Amino acid sequence: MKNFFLRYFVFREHPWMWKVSLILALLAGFGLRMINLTNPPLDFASTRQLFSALKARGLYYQYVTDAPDWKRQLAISLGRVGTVEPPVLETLVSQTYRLTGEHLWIARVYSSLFWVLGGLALFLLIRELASTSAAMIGTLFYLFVPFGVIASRIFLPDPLMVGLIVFALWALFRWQNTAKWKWAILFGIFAGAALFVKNLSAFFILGGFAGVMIGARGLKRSVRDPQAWVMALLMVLPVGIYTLYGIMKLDMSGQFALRFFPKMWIDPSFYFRWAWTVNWAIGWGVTLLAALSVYLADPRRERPLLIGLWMGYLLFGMTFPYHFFTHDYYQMPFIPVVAISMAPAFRLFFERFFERSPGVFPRLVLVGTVLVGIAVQSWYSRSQLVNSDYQKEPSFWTEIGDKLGHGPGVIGLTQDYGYRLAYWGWQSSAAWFTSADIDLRYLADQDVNIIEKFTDDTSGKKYFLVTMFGELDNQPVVKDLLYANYPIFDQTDEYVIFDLQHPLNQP
Amino acid sequence: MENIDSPKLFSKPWLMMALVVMLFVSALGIRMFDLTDLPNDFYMVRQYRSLLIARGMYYAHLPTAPEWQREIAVAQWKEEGMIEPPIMESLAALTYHIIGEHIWVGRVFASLFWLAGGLAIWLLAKELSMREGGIIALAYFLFLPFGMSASWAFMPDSLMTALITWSLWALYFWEKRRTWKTAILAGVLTGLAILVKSVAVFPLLGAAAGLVLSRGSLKRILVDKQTWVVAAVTAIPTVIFYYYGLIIVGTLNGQFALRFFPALLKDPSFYGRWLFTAVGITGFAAIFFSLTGILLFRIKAQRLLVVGAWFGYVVFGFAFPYHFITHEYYHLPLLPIIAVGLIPGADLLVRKVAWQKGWLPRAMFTGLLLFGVAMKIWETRNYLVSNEYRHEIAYWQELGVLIGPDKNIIELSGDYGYRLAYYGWVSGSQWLSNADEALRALAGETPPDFATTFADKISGKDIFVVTSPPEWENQPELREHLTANYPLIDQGDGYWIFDLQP
Repeated sequence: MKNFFLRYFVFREHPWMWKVSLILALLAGFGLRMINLTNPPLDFASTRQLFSALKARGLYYQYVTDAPDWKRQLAISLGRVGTVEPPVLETLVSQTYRLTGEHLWIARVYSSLFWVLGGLALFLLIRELASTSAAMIGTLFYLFVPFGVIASRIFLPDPLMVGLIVFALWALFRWQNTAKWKWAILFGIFAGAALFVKNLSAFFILGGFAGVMIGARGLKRSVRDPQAWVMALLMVLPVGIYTLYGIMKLDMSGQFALRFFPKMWIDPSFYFRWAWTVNWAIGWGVTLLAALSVYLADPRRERPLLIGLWMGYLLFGMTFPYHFFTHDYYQMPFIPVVAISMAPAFRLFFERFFERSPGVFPRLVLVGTVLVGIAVQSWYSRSQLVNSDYQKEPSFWTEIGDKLGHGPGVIGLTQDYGYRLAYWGWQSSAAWFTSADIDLRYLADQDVNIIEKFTDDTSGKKYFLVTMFGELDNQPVVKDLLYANYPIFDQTDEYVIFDLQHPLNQP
Repeated sequence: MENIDSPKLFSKPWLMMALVVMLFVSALGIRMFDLTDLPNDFYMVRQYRSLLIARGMYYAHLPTAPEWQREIAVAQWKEEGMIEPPIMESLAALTYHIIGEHIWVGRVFASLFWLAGGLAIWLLAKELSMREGGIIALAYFLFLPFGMSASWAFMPDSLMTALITWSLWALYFWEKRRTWKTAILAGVLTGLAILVKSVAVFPLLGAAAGLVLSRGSLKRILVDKQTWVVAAVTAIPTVIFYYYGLIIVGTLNGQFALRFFPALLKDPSFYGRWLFTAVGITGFAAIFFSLTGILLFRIKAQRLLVVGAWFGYVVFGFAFPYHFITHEYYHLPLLPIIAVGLIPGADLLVRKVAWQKGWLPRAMFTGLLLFGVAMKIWETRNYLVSNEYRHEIAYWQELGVLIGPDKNIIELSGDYGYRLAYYGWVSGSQWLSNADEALRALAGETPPDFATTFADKISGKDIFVVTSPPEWENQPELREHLTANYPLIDQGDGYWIFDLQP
């Protein structure tokens, strides 16, 4: 019986068991992300998700022929929300809408798929870097860490970007170990695609690339290597062309504003908040283990890549200190970095484990512990997904949109800069500053004259919509201006619409 | 015997000592921060109970106190049923005699006991020849946020947890040496831990059983005189205490009521809540690494000591299912078990890091460890700063004056009337809260109708005091009955006082 278990059910001696386990893990990871699939995407980075949703709908309506003309025009117009990255995911989703109709959850399926496929590359990379057992643990961490589960199903380019980063790193490490043209070109393609999808991937791609080129192969040798030049060229070409095109044609220069706050570097609380964010999103224990584990990696073969990735992450945080706390999804690429970095520690663990626990029972205990661990993490993620219910939101915004009439001339202090109103209410609006926006400008040493801005922003507008009463309370000047000078067009417990066209003190 | 396959983290022993001392000093420092705030942040009912007992003991021998105050203080002490021997309370009362009554004395003792527990973790790691791993286990034990909150609470739990760690050390120490001296030491420490709080029996009995079973032959175990002596020395203090409490004075009888809820064991959600409570307070990564770490212990005795302790913890959960999902501090015995489980994995990791050439890896490890510790300290400091309760003293004192110490009262409160009793010097009987009613329903008790209960409860009482707005809101029948039938004498911020006299 014991031998039967050892021979057929306890992994190490049977590669097919790993394959089956990996497939099951990937399927389970994907299935977990499908829970509460049709919930509106407001549980995580809602502004950014609705930005993509509006864009995808705008692209889709260019092909819709059976919609009323006003709706078609409005969808296309609302879809022009600006350009941050190439609308790769939005295009993919909009093309799928043409086959299935418009469903917001389609993006969730794509994002989840990209993340889970990244798990496959991660497994292959860690297996090459450390061992199959370590690869399995690293992949399970990547697939089931609760923050990753929630974050990886969002309608943002980030899950695709992370998936592509992992594929690029796998190809890079394969190239480092084989020096074959095939891997050089594959790295160039994956890295180029990752940078094209979202240029913030540069920190990790370039970090890993620099680590391998300088640490593993040597700078001199790398500079003389034509493969390295091809890799670099393929990597920068798509994003280079797009960025030049964007700055010249798409007015993308605005995306660089309010991003860099170097004065935060000298504030000690910045580092504590950073650590706190990492603790919350990934866990301090595993991050500490991952950091220490870098020193367990082979100094020539494995460590350069890992150090490059960590340097990339640190540089990323120093470059965007403000966004690191306010935008949770900036931590997403760190998940595979931690998973890869833990690999040498897990290799060491498994070496010692197999040495000290040769019998079948310890292995079954270990497998059981890992399975319980996955179950706990999955259940935690599931609870979060189920508990955040936003099914009532669409009808609320539809009602307001109908009241406002879907025409121009609306300014609002509403959730997600008016994107909810735009998406479900089919109503465009200008967004009035939140107190966080004002603070951000103060942080950037900009002067904000609220009364002047109010006068400018409301000029020519018909309605001022408020759905964030807490925010209005935080801005007493604006609250006084509105209540003292403008009649209420409509109100409920959840919103108030001021009529800007008929001021109270009008003669 | 030092771990044979890897070098030490620091070549100079004083550096390791300096790191350990730094951890202890930091641990004490954060526990002394905001020392004079009221103990409302962690299971305040249990802490105020200890405060009342300590004050009663102190006032009983305080000739300078006004007679009425002494009488009330002693009466309040005597009203508290005995659950455990009042060791912490006696220590606090003795200290009050030297420095005067200060609410923070219990907190200082609890903190010092916890730190002493940390020392036992460190010594156990040394005994296991895994000193390098002991550093991480020690940092975990001293700086886990839940552990920090629990460790300064004026409850027996800090001392119990510390004695659990000392017992684990002593049991292993005995197993390695097998001398009569070490056997008696193991028995005394284990017995003390169980005496301080009887629930310590679960992990310690499990650990001791695991250790003894690791010897293999049952016959050898049964004929081993030392084992019997350890068992006897362990049992003696608790047997005497229970004999005294149950048979001689009879004050321990009440502590077994409303504790056992076997029906919960059939409810699958109980296991989920148990798991999430344990994971929530100890950390998923720590539990996972601790459990897998067990597989890395070199010898059977080490493995079975920890496995036995885990087994005992699980049995503890089955014995007290309701408290396990409602009282987080019931999971405190898990902390030393997890810390010990972390030792082998951490040792393997740290020694491999130390094996690297150059000072950078060691410096990185030390830096990361200290940064992690600093982060937890900062988190706790922020929590303490943002939770300020000092203003409550005046509130309860004024309410106490308003009611008067001579009134016979019944109270609907959120804290069993402890704050009013402690600061306001006013005690009374308690009207059941919603949670208490739910607990009794879970135990299968059917309450009599409202009119009977009300008549029964207010019999002989002068006034009905409500000090919990949520309870007042959630008990409409009581609210309507009092409002409709009794005059409201006074009403203020969060309290209502009704005159029950005709």
